[in-house]
Amino acid sequence: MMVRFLIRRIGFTLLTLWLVSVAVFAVTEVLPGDVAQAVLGQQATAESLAAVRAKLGLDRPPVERYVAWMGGLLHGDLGVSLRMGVPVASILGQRLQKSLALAALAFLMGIPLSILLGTLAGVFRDRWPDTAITVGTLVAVSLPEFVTGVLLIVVFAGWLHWLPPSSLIDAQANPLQALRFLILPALALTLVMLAHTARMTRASMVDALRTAYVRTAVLKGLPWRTVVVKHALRNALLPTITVIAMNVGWLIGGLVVVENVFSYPGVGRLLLDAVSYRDVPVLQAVTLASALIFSLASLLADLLYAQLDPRIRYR
Amino acid sequence: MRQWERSSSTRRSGAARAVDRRTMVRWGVAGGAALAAGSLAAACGPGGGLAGQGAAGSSTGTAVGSGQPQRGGILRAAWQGEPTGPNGGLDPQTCTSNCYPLDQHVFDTLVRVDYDLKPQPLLAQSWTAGDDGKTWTFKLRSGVKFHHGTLFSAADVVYTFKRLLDPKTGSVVAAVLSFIDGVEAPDPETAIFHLKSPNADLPLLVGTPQTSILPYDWSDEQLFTKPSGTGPFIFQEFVRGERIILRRNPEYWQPGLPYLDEVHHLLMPDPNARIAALTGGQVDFVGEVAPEMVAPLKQAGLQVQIVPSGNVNLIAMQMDKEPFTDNRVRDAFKLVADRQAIEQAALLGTGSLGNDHPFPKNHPFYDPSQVVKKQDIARARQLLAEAGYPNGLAMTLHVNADRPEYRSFALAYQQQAKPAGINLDLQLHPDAQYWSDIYLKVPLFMSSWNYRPSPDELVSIMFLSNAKWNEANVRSPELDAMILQARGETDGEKRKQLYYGIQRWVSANVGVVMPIFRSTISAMRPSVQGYRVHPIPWYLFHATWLKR
Repeated sequence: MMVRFLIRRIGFTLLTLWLVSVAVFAVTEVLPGDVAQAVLGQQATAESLAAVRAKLGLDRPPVERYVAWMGGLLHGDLGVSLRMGVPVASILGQRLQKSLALAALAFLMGIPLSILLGTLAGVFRDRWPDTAITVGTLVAVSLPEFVTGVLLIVVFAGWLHWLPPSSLIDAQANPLQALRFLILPALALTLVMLAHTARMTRASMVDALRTAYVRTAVLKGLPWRTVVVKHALRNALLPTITVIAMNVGWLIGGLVVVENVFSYPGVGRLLLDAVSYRDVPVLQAVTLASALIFSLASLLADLLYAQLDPRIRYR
Repeated sequence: MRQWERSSSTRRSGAARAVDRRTMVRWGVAGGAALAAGSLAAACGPGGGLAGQGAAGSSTGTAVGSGQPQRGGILRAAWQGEPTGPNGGLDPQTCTSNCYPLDQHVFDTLVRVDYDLKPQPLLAQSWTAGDDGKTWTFKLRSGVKFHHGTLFSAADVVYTFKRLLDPKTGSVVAAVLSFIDGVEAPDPETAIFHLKSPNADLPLLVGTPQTSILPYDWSDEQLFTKPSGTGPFIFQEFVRGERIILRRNPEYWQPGLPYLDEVHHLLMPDPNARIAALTGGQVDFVGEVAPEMVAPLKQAGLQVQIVPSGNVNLIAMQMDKEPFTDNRVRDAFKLVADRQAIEQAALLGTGSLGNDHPFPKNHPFYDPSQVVKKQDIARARQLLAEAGYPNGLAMTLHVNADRPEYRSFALAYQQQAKPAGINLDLQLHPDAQYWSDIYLKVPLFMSSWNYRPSPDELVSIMFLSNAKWNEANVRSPELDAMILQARGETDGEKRKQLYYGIQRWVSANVGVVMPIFRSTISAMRPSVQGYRVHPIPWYLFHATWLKR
């Protein structure tokens, strides 16, 4: 059963990715503005425009270019960046590493914190800690990342001088020093995902605390802390896993903004640059990579969920 | 951004616009220092084109470069973007934007265009024009080495211009330099330029970064990944999206220069991030600063240099389309502009005023006898009535939404035009669409140009009948003749008079409202010394040093 479930899920993932590839290609086709013009700048001459169009193969029909692109893709060839003149794969690899480091730190800070906050809110339901946590996380998620990012810069870099305002890591920095550069952007990302996870944890915590087994545990005379951590939280975490997987999607969007605010050279900035310079191969590759990461995350969440809750597997 | 490109695309800044009084030292301290340093540069003559650079001005009133220059240190400069172009951006001939990290640091040109836009010797020690203005002989400096070790000679000059003019290279400046027929090298220290038609601006044009001298024994593949020039800094590393690292050229031909050990160009696309990094001490220098950041930066104790430039913002009226076929309508559109108010709205007092032609007040060929037009609503109304619009007229003005100064300019102008009966409907377009679908295709639109050292280029690029960017669609044999005559005139005084005439003609007849010039604004930490903003703008760190 598990194997069939796995195969079906992987099949859906591949289908999703293919649909995304078609959509990405179609969208880049209809983007306003001319690629050759964007590459050469406003004062391109007709001759240089024609030369660039021929070089980029823009004079060929779209279907032919899609097939060529897909063919390259399947061989691991993502094409060459129009703006930078280097293979997309190498640049994407570098940037993915950077963004993964940032995202990992954000998750490392964000998940325990949001589960802690959600648990506290659930335990102290309708009392002041609950209200404070709910309002606090909602404010954090309602503020766009460019606002929280700038606020963090103003407070931690401008006033307190604890952390650098920009996250372009010094070339000579060792990993520990490098971490200092990542804290502020990771914090900005954390604030965005805090509310979802915390609220989901709170809701399932409230449910769990109402169940018969928790009442039994309490009546059995177990310490309150043990009841909450061992009995209630364990069960409350299940739905949270799905929310965390969804957060991966949020995070990719958040990276675009946060990396720009903090000048951090990751995929988010790569995507933004690709859009503003009409660097189509890079745009396509980054979008596909994001879709791939998101699909993998939800696949992983499904598998984890199935592992934790045996009922899922047989549906 | 380099001078051939459109105005620098300062991104929208989320920061609140600081209301600034008109106390900007536009022509004040910075201007005074410019004069002082200009005379120094003139006095130092051949062999020291740069030595006079130390005495630059800052708007805080303290002379930058006071004290003995100190050797060593790393200068960290923040930029909006990295060099880009069809060949990846490291090739100076095809780099189209953000080329300054390499321009004039890794490479030298034959001529240095100084801070007053006068040609000074660089790789060329001297030059003379033949009587017909079509043959120019450049005497080259000897003993200069490229970073990879070979000696610079006339063969490199021949190679550079052959490559530049070759259509296969695809340089956007090939069109501007197409008057060059070819370059020959009779001996290693002489390069002779043969022109198809006379052009007195050749020395200035071979001072632009696209004409940087490339070594002929360095292949395109090498150039695209590890450029080698004769400049004061050696290309070390380029990490895309992050940084470009240059290190000192210990064998630079100007003794003692440069002072810095390394220059780190850091890429920070967000304008607020650049400012935060500067105030926070993560970087030492920010090349492009938005006008609204001037006051807060000064307050934070940083040096801010504002240098008047010829970067012009304009409204183009296409003269082959109604209603602009009638010069009275064009005149009315020029007369409704309150230039001072537009400058204040768009540039917050950091810019300067224009008189409907592309020469700024500090240009060597600016006609000092002219009086900048004043707003005259009554006269504009009368002109419109005479032209057949007694009840005024309604038009659509197309605006690039991604340039903040375009929008404030357009809004101010819209309000000013209303009392004269000109009702403008503003249509905003995103940048990418603007240049391909709107620009040059509608009767009334906004545009902007970056400054150019060559006076001929200032006018011929947009006012010649066959100009590629003839925004106003002006087709006048009279103006064409004036432009071509001035281009070929090698007598300085005669040439000046010719350009005065062109300014008068353009201002009175051509369909352009050119009310404002943007200044070049750079900001740096107090430790940065010996830096001076170039009006083009170019960013030169040859004589820059760090005080410790």
